[in-house]
Amino acid sequence: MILIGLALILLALFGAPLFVIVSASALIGFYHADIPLMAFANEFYRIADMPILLAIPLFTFAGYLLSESEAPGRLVRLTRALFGWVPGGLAIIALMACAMFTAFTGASGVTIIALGALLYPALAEAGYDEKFNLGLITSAGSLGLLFAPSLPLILYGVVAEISIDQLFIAGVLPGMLMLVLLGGWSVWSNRSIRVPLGSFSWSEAGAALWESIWEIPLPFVVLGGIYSGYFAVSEAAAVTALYVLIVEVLIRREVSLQRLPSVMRESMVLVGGIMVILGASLASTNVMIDAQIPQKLVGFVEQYVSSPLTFQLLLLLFLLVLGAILDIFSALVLVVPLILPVAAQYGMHPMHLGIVFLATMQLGYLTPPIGLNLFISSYRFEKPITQVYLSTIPFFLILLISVLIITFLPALSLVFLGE
Amino acid sequence: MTVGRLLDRLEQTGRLAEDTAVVLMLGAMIALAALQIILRNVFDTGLIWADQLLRIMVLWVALLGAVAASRDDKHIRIDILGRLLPPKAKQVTDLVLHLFTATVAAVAAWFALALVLGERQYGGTLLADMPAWIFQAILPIGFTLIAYRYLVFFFRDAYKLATGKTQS
Repeated sequence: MILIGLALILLALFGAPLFVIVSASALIGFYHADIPLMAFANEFYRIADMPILLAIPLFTFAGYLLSESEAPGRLVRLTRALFGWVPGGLAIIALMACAMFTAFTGASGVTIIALGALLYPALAEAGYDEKFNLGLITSAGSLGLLFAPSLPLILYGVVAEISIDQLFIAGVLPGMLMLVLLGGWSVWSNRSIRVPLGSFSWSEAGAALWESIWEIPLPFVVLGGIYSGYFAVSEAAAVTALYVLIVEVLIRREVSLQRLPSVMRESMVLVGGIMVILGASLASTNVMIDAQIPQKLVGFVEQYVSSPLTFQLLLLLFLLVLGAILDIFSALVLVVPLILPVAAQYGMHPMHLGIVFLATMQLGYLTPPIGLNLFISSYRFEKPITQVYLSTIPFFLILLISVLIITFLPALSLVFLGE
Repeated sequence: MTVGRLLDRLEQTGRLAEDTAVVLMLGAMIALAALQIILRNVFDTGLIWADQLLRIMVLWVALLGAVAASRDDKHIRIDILGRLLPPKAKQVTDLVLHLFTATVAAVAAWFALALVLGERQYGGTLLADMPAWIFQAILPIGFTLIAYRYLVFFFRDAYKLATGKTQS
């Protein structure tokens, strides 16, 4: 059994698709427990029992379609017109635009491709240092993770079986904290550079607003609808998908009807990749629960860790390593079922755990060897990966500080939940 | 040559069918979900079977998406050691991984088929009298197509390795 486990880990490290590793371990687990292997298919079929999952393909499609249109350019122009007069404005604009875009497109790396290409030259033109720009864009590419309606937040709600509406509220302050700290550092580190302040122009603001007239209602409908309780999350996703489809394809015609099917297919490649791991993990989690692995894990950890403080420190360390080797979606479906009961033992609220989990995993986007953002930036801006990595270090440290604050100040996540 | 051409045609038709299926499924999902919201909010009514059908469509789109990801070999993976290998060794490990993936997917497909056949015999129904096994059928279909893709990768790469050619 241990040998098989080691072999599977080795195959995973050599690059076997993760869903295959998870499926194989579930199948082997059922076989050992004398459970008919049909159980695997039965567990996988439970995907059809989770109404909230509808939100995942719909939001992903809407996000892909938005990034294929010229909406990213309009978003940059609009934030620039509205906030360009603030000191350090352009850096802050980059952070805000990236956070907003990532929340809608699900932290799949499209932010760097869609927005980075616009912001990177703009930053250089405004006199910012190349190393700073590279680091800023690379780290901002996963910044909106904690804001509704980001895909990882939804997936955490699914796996932990807690209210996604509440998770959306829990993420607001921690997400803002990251934005504020990164923004503050951007202003401070560029204090010596005399970037000419843009002045606020009513006519430019008006023109930018007018240009984005079709996209502006989107965040209000989605966030307003969800936060007010008017829409369920999956309903908001359906409205978003249909609205974006009508606006970008039929009204603006920025994505042609001929191009539409391949955008649909591409977005479903990502969805299929995530969901097939989720389906397999439903089976593997079942195997682990039958073998009482979560209880054993709780017992094991309790033996060595007595205080909640030590537990949280160890958890952070574990999540940092996890984030460096596993992508956020796989980590969510595979690890959350295991650490939820352990965290509960130390009095950690499941909402708080979720925010800490995602915030820490966000750092994983910036850590070698698999940090997705590093590769996308390196590819997109044609810079060696080591240079990209070095440029992100100050941003990484600031995000690490935010993660520490988020972890040890649970109120930040829980204050609006009325708990 | 003619057999080759026939296989080519078959492959092309298969690709078109896969792409059409995933696009239509997503399109139908958006349309049905939107229709349901309009009915609920404007006409204060709703289709009773729509929510269940939508959940099943999510399963279908998930597997069709996974089939698409398999064709592009774009599944989520870790791959720390693989990229450190010299090209020749990487070719060999890839061969093992393709065969392993095809085998696991085939096993999953086989037992999914058993589930579907069992359900058919049992005669369970969903959505007002539709046989339930039809909705489950995507499981064996999806895993079979994934297994097929990786088997094709295996033979393609084995051929490359054996002949030292880069074109198949």
